Amino acid sequence: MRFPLVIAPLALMFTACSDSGNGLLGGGEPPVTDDATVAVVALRAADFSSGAHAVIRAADNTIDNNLDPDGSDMSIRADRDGFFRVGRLFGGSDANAISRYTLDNPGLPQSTYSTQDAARPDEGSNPYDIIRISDDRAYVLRYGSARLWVVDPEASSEIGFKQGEIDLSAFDSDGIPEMVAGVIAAGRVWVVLQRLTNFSADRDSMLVAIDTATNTLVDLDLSTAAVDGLTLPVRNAVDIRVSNDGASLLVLGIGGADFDAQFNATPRYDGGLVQVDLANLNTRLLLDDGTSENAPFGQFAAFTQDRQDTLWLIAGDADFGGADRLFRIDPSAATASTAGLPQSTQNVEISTLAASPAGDLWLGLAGNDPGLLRFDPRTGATQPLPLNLVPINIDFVIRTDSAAVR
Amino acid sequence: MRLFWCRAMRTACCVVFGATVAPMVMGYSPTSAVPAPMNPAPPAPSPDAAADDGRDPPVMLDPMVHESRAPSQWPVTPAIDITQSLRALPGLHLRPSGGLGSYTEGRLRGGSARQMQAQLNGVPLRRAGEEALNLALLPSLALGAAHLDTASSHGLVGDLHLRVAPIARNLQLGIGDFGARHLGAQTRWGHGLVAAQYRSADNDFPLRNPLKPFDPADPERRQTEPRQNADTRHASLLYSAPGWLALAVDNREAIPNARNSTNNRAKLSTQLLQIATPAPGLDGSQWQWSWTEERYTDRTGQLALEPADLRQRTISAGWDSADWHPVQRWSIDWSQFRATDAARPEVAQQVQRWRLSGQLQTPDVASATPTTATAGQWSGLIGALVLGEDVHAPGNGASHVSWELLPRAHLQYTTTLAVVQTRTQLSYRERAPTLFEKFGDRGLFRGNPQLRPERALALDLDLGRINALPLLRLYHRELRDAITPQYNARGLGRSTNAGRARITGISLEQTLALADPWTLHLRGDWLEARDRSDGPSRNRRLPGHPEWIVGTQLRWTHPRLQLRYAWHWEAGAFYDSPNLLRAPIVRQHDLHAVIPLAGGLRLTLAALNLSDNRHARFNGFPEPGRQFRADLLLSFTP
Repeated sequence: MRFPLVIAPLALMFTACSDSGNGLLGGGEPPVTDDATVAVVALRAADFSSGAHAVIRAADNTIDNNLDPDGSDMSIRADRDGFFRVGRLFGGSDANAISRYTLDNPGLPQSTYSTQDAARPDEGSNPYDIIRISDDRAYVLRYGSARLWVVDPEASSEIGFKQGEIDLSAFDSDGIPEMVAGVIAAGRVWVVLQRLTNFSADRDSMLVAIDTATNTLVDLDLSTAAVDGLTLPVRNAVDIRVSNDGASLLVLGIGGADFDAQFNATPRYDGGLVQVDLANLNTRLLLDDGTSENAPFGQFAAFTQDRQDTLWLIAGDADFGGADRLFRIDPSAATASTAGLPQSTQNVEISTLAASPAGDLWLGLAGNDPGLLRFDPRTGATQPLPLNLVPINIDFVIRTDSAAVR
Repeated sequence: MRLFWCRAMRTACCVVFGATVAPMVMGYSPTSAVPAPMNPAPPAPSPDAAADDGRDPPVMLDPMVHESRAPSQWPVTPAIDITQSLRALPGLHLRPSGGLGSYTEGRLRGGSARQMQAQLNGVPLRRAGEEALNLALLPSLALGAAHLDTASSHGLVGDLHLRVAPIARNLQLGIGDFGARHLGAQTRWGHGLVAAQYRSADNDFPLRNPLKPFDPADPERRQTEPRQNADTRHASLLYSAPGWLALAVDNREAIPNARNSTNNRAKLSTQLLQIATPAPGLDGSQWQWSWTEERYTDRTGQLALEPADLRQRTISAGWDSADWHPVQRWSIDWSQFRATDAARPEVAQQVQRWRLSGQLQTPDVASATPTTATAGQWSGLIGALVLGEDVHAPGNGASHVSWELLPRAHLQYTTTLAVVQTRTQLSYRERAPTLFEKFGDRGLFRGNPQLRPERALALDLDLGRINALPLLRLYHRELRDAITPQYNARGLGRSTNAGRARITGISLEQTLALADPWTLHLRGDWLEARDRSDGPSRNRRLPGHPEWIVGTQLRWTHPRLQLRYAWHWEAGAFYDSPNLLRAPIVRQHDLHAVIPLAGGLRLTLAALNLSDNRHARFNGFPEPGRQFRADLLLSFTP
């Protein structure tokens, strides 16, 4: 089961396939080819001095690079005929704002709307993601605020952008629950809360659900009077997606870290990959990141699930000079392996990971030669795509008028 | 200071890392001065000029205050704003981060601020391995002259030599837009000068804030709002006499954020005490002591995400041979650096350093005006710095001692071709890593204790008329092992020796006497500074360095009135290492009028940035637009 973002009107020539798992296309839907796939990649300079995005046609790897440069703190979310660029706290002149672009003019935003709250002008809203619910409704996850925004993503002017807000402050003692990621499943939007204190992961992360029909929180534990979330068995959760079969949610926690007297960080290894059964909300640790004495994969960084239902993980040594590896997860055995994976996915600096609707993996590479690495798990083929900036995140737009592309 | 500033800007304005740690090279920049024919009556040297090298005729800080025409009628009018004073120096690029008194760094010939060392009357205000100097700490009203030295310099690129003004008795006060206030007094005391100065500014200049929340009454965010949390305050006391220097500074600066938040309370305070006294036995040598206390507070984490209350203390004591001997110079000093974090009391960093420096040189190596040498003349310098470091590990009290040897050499050949005098120079110099570069900052940016010094090789060619200061200076620098920040895939940063840079430039300076009473001063710089590292920014321009800097100052002098129009233009700079964000062009038009009144009283009116040009040399840290200032100076008979 998949969870369509929208019922696309006939006139709509584009659809979006979010790598976060709230997209249109999945295992049960018609296959998507590279001809119809356009990757949009958020980029940052190697030294964080600037950022931009790139648009890449998957069919021939044609790249429109370094579009609309600005600050280094941003993310991309595919949406229908284009994509949103979410300007986070240090996003430069578009910080704390969401811009919408079309593929026909990917370097010029159609609109840029602030996520700053007029009632709290000094608050750094730090938007992390936008999740479209319907034609005229989306949720904006505001990492630096207690309040998630309900917005109209199609608003023709900024005055119509904000429609409402949902207070999540009760879920963290310091009032800022750090809403970091979300997906749509079973008629609800599921939002991951990191619940940090001064950026220290001192509490387990949490999952809350919002009824999309009413824009209200759903009580996930009816045994208490309060509206409860679901506490996850991991800390510092960073990503969530809907499994390809639609029966569960998958949440990745990268865990916290301890700092020594010289502020060198040592991972605590209290993260892992968690499966949440949507039928009964039971949680299961699909893959544990180990302990500080025995961490076979290193610190977790990112994960995805490809069209073939395989789960993939990026993990490694987070310290400077360390490297990451791509792992194939075996959930039944609660382990992961690098066996059979190409050398170019091993012991390199991997900044992000995404599974394309066509079935291949896109890895972001940092280091002296930043860029992308396309890896087709079915054939083992790899294709490097050099960029001069470091990929931060990747999402995919599906063009239904692929013949008209370029 | 740099540590705090880098920390504050780490996420808000990461270009600072790229810019300040950006590779640069050393070079030789002989004294910048008005050419002799245009300057028949150079200003009388300060009685304490002997504390400086005494060989270079200095450029006065501002042609406006230049006493070349009629010193008796036009007493010096020092500028309250250090950027106004120093911008006539070719090869020097000044980067203020906001309004009056805001953090300001100086960068010489495409170098980083760390690669230039500043000295006041020959006393170093920062030493090898220390952070760059915030020029806003300087007692601007008491400064009289400045020049650049890249021959006998200690900085990798060069030294900025500042000199205290000649002895005068005066009282000066002024006001200006955006809460600018200043009060200064100078008088003779014994054989020296005592100067006190107070300066403050709200810096609440209007700006458009594109990051503010949506306002139906201003949907395009065209309305301006005052800059928030940008006030500065400075108080200083200076004593200067032959062989003596005592400087006490209390400098406080609020640091705004990009959102212009009203609840931002980030502040940086610096207290500095610098003392130099003659050392008996070796005439011309000095004992030197310094104490610097810096505190950076950001209790609500407005600038760098998490709250901070960091304190640093540096004390040092040493001996410098200074002008004891014309062909050799020695210095030895000890310093202790201690950093604590009130938010994490278990963390404390303590480093002791010893420095022994010596150099042998020919007497004329740093002369700004080469001796006429038709047959050619060789001169040069060779020296080395031995730097010892004892790092105390917090917690277990263990210490680690290391030693570094940093050689330097300079060779030059002077000859005359027809009426053109040429000076060709070859230099090699090294810079020791700073503590921030070696030990980082609270996990956001990790230092690298294994860092090596960065190295630079420079080739310079000066061209000018015989017995005059060079008109044209061409330079080329190659930098190796440049200390450069690198970030891994998860954003963790570390200093490395991976940087390389290639820098070529031309500096031009000329003063022309037009039809009396008009005078035109011209300063121009062209700079080609490229990253040559093996990385994604290879061949990109080094961020923060304008390709072009042009400044002209047109002066009209009359016994009853002096007018000056100044135009300053900077173009071709990028904020970022990939060169995607081009910095706005700086176009600044200033107009000054000096009106002598009765009884030694003089009024100066200034209209600055007349065209209201909005620019920011640091990305996200705009500088003020149009502003007006008035200054009254009452002079007494010395």
